[in-house]
Amino acid sequence: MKGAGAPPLPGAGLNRPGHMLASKRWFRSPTGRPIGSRLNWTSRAGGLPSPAARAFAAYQGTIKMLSYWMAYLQYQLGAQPDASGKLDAYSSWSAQLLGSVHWWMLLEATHILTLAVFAGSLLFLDLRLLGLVFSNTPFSRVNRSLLPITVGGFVVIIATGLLLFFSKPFDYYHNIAFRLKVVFLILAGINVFFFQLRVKANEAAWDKSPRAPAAERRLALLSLLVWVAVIATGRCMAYARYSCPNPSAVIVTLDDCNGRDATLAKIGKEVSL
Amino acid sequence: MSAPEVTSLGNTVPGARALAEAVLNNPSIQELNKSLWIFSVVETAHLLFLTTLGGATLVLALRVLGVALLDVTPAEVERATRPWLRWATLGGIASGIFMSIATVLTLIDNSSFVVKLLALAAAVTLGFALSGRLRGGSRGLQYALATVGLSLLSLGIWLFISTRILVFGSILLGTVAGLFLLLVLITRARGPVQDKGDRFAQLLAIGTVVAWTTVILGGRWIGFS
Repeated sequence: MKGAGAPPLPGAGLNRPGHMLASKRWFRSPTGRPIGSRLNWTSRAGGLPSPAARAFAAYQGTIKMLSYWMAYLQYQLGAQPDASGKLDAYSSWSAQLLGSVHWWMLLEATHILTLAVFAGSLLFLDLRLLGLVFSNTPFSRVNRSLLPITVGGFVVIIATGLLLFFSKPFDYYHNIAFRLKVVFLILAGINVFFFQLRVKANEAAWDKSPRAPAAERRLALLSLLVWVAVIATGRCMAYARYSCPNPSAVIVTLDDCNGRDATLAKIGKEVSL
Repeated sequence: MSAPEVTSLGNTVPGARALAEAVLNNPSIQELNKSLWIFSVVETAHLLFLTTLGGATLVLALRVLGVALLDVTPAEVERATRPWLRWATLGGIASGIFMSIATVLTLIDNSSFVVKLLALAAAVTLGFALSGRLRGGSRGLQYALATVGLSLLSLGIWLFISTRILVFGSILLGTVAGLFLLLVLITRARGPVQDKGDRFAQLLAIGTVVAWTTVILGGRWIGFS
């Protein structure tokens, strides 16, 4: 029931003049109502939250929980107490990794170097599928030769990427470029999965053809586009204009900067930031 | 006056600083530098060119060294990778020049930038020598290009090692080059029995891999130093 003490429903208060999205045209329907208000947030009988509202609340809860976990990783894990009894955020393992100039430089340089090995060899596998290189050589032969390099590069790039992420997990989590990078990485993974399924199913039929069938070529093209997107978003992670704090209302929303501030306020009771 | 601690364009090339200041004071360049999105697009393109270069160099080198694509002749691999190598090199240099303009005053005092330039010249020269070798071009030209390329590369690596603030970059370069050679030797030993191949082409292939690795690491250490 929607009692006095119940939390406000998602979308409520968007018409409030002071709300950061109240003046944004893109957040409103043509009739002027906020987009959120078009969802059926309560079931008709008894005003109980509808499945959509429950799903949205669960999503918001997960977002908050992840923000808190990332803040724990960045500021609290391995941190030592300071003179005031609070944990010193600069002594956390994450801060030490970021502060260890030489290790961080080695990690970042290895990540970039391995990118050339991994994505470079993958490029030539995809080009073979598209029929642009080595079209007289069976795909299976090219794949057998180059795939170990691609896989080896992928293992190193993921390991160094995870360590680099660990140096600023909370900052990266509240960064739209990083969020998009994760989405594109998941897309790339799904693409590889589908590709392997298709290849195993009918590779023998087109192995010696100068180029793969249309479906495989589409997957190869998608692979190239997704990895370009991963590289581009990875590059954009370094720019301050995609991260919090930010004057742009769009970035504030996409990065969940308000959630970031709330998390910082919460852990600020235990940690010297 | 004591000798400079680092070798940079600013303290070795006469007039470099004046030229850099003239470039930076150019109104068109200043206008260009105000646009942040162009810079991010160019930086991303630079990274994509670098990735393409890395792939093409590695594929060709591994074939010449008898490690990968043994069903394809080295000349065929050279023909397949050539357009990608050349366009990626041109694109990388063009985007690199654009990126350099924005930070030209800091770059001319940066020794890592000199390392990158030397290694880049070496990589291009050795690449041409390898390409000529596999296409059956003039031997005299190949030896001349190889001598110039390997000399430039040696100079770049020596500068990388001898500059204190770049020492970790040179350690990584040594580690990567060592691992690459080790993997090549292991793969060759475990693979099918094959002839020794063209030793000169193999030297050039190793040279191009080391040169491009130095270019990438030199570029990365520009940001660090």
